[in-house]
Amino acid sequence: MSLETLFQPMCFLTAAGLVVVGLYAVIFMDNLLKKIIGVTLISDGVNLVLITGGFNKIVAIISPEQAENGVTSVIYEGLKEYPEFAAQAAYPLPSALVLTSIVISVSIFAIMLAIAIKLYNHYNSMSCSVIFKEVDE
Amino acid sequence: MNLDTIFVPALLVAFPLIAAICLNFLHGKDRVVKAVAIISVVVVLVLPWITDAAVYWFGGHPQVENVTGGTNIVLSKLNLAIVYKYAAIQKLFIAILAILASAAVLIHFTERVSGVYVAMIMLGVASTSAVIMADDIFNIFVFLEILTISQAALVIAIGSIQAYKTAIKYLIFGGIAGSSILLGIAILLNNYGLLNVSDLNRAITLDIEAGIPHALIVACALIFVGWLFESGMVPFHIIKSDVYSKARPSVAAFMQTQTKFVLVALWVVILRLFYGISTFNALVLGVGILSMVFGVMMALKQTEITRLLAYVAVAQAGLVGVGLGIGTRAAVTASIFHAVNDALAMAILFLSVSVVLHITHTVDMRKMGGLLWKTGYVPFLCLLGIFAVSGMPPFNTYQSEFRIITAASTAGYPELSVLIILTSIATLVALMKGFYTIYLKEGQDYLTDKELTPVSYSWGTEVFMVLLVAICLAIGLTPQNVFPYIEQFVQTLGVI
Repeated sequence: MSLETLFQPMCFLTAAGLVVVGLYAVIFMDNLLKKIIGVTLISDGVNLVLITGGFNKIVAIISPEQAENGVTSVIYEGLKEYPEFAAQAAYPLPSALVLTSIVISVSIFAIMLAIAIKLYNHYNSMSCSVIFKEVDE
Repeated sequence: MNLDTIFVPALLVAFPLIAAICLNFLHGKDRVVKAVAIISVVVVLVLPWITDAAVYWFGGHPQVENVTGGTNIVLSKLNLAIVYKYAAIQKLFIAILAILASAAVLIHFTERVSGVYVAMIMLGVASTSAVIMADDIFNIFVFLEILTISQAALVIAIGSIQAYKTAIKYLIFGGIAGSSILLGIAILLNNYGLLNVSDLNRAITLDIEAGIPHALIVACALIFVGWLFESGMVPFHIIKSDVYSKARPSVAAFMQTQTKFVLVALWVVILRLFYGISTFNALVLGVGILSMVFGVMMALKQTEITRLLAYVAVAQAGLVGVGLGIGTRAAVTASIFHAVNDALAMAILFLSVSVVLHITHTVDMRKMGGLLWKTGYVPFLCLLGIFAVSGMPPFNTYQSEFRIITAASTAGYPELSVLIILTSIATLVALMKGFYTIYLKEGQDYLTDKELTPVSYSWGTEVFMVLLVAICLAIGLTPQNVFPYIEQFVQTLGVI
């Protein structure tokens, strides 16, 4: 099996690993900073799934009815003249989406870090068992 | 000049966003912030009414049937753009949202106004409006994340350490729920290459004729988890009620409206995509019942007034979920109608608590009492609000709850009708308990020095409460002014 064939499954496996590690950190780790990093790991894993989905996959931008009638999109019709490129071209939409998703993740990460600093200054600890001890009192 | 080309639906999102950016930069300049805040509030209030119903394309082109004129170019029938749909129902949602956003800004206008605080309100208006109007699933995801950020920031505005704790919990859960939605979107994109909900609906309809693909079930489950968080349903009801109770009551009134509208908007998207999965409605019904029962049970045992209202809001969101879960056209219509009605009625109660907190500086009901003759018309308006939330005639929620109960019986769930009636009674008991302890119980220490003089508070709160009571009564007495638009909207969904 060639490296190219393995690339997409390996990316999905890595993404699954990131999500699992992130979930573990969020659920089981006591340190608030590690929980925050866990959330970003989950987000990174999902971004990896999103972008891997577009790897080397030409998705026809046509309606299902048009597809049934054998119509192909003008965007990809032109690619038939360049079979080598068409075989390797990635679907560009996920790349644009991931860019937006990363910006959102960074924003949430920044706010969470700012709050974590506030909480650390107040409790002098990053331990959730200390910070959330009297939350229900 | 053609006004149709100026007042386009996109402006309902773009203007609050621009206002938020400006207000954020002006933070610290009190007078300028107040001036810009007033202008922003007025524009946000007026925009939904002057914008005509339309479908708006960001770039791309509308769907095309045929291209003539000797060209061999094949134009796609798909919506190759981000599409916003703005009709009567969206107008109603956004107009109510604007009223409550302006209440959250104007009630605190006599104090020093924070630019960031008003900016976050505007961000909330923009993001919720976008979720309500967008027909693009990734666009909805982006604005849901912005909504989470703005809600967390509005909780932080309180400045207490408890508020910071609530905000970070909310952001952690929000981050996971957001990732869940994005993973669902990634699976859909991987399978169909589309993001537009209408296009996905058509593609999935063709696909499920040969059987429901496993990937579709996984995507449905992931987006459903996100919906549970955004709508504050079980198991996320605790974090949602925590957010409501830690925020300013006027902001909580705004937030619970956002939650109910997002609940409906996101459910519509999920239904259009996954209507083929038979267990979907049963799941919505299940979490709706659990949220309704847990919400009202938790409300009954609360000793903090803000938490009491927060849990009642969760229970009412559960009731909306029950109507949606029943899944018949009558139930869904009644349920969306209830989301509108309850958002208005709950806002009255949150605003009355705003006055109470201004005087007592505590949320603990055990330390309250004796405010009946100290706060003008607020106790009377609060009592009307309690009747409205509990579904008593002639208020608007009576109309919607009655319709949900009838729809439940018609759909073969008579036991659900009994449960809804019991929930309404329990809601009334919980709220009357709060009313008694705040207004009727003997006075506490904070009133001893000024026993005979009425206590000062923002008159703006009373004005907004009167306005909301009037709207509740108007809808309750003439539901035909609102209900047909919701019926029409449900019909156009085409999947019920």
